Amino acid sequence: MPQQQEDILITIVVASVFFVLIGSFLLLIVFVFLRRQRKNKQEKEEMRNRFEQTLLKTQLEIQEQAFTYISQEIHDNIGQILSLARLNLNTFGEHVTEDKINQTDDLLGKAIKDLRDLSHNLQNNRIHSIGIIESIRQLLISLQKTGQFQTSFRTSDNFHILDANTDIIIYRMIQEIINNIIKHASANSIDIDISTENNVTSVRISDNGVGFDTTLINQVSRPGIGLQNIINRAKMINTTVDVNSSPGNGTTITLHIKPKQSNI
Amino acid sequence: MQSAIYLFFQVASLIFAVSLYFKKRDKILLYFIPFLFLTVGIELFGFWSTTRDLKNYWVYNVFTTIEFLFYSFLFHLHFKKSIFKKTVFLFAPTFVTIVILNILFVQGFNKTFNTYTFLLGSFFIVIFCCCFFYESVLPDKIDQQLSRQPFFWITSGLLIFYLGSVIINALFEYLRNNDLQAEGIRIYSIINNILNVLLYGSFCIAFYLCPNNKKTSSLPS
Repeated sequence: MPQQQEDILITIVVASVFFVLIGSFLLLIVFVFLRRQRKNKQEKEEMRNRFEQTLLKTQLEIQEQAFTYISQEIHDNIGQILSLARLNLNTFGEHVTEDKINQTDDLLGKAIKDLRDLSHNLQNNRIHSIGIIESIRQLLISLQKTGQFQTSFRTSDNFHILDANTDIIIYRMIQEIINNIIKHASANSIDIDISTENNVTSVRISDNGVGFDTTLINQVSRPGIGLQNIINRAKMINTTVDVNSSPGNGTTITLHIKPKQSNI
Repeated sequence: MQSAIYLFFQVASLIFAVSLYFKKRDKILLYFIPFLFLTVGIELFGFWSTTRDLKNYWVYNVFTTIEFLFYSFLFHLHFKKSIFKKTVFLFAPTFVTIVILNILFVQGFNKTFNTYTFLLGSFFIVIFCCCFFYESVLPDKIDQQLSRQPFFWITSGLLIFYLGSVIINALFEYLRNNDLQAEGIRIYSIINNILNVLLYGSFCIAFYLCPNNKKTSSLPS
């Protein structure tokens, strides 16, 4: 067979094989693409599940904190006031001075007012109804009432509210940071500053306590510090946590809340 | 003997389809059984006529037209997007018209194998295969595992078959007329056999994956 004819036949075979390979490659691409898409979807679902679990856990923790606060208030405050009022009533004889009646009336009035304040804390989904700003303000008021802390709260005018679920998690993170301050910082001043810039909301919580060495945060042998919990929650809502502290110089924790991603 | 391998696979897939139909009663099997009967019949006739040196182009020219229409019908059934359905719907009458025009004015009925219409049909089948894969990667289809769908295997077989056979079929007449008949037929036979094995093999996988639609009833005890 002449060389030219042989070349033609070889070209035909090579071209046919080439076309078959193109087809096979197309099939392979479809397969890999679908597999990747499925995996991506599964990861998104897992992420959503984790977010929902975190949200539920957060709600339960907030509720538990509220119950602890209420039980302490009833025991330490309202209970004491009512006991005092009862003692006053027991001292009432035939002739009761107006001063004593007024004193008892004041005590009962204070007990009623404190009960009313407490009833607010019992409302379900309080953050949903009054908003995160008002919730933080009330949290600081209750801290101030203990007499152990001076608090300040600043929020910018252009602060835009996040979605309801993110609010709950942010609020719980702030609550945990404040718990840490109460337990470990030996501080007497707590400041919260909320600002928004370029769609990123920053929540800055600072205290004037003993501070700590920030290199210890990542040490596995010190898991009890509670910050890891805050960092884990932050990841769920596209938030970064910036910890600025040194021994003797207080602590500033800043939460940078970025716009919510569509995958959650 | 080598040239009859594809015939063996065609008969095997027909037997497989018939036996599975009695078990599964699926629509795809129902459509394929008469088509495979026709295919095997045509191939047997072609085989017989070749041994007797009879010109059988007209049989293949008619059969390939029916073949393309059958595959288009299957694609029409499986497409979800209306634009693809409409394309198939328009393709069928247009293709038949072009085949008739080609027979009447260009390549004739029994003069030669109608390569122009074969290439046109192959081109559209490959396009339909791509459309099917496009629909398969759309977000609403992600949950379905592609390799478990019978029509995926049919489409894969068709894509490989028509991409692979397009060159050899396009140059069929050239090989015949340019002193390449002996070698050309051998290569044609090898490529055709391999592609047919892949095509009918993937049909068999598709038949196997067809869902069981047979209604069963049990008597109360």
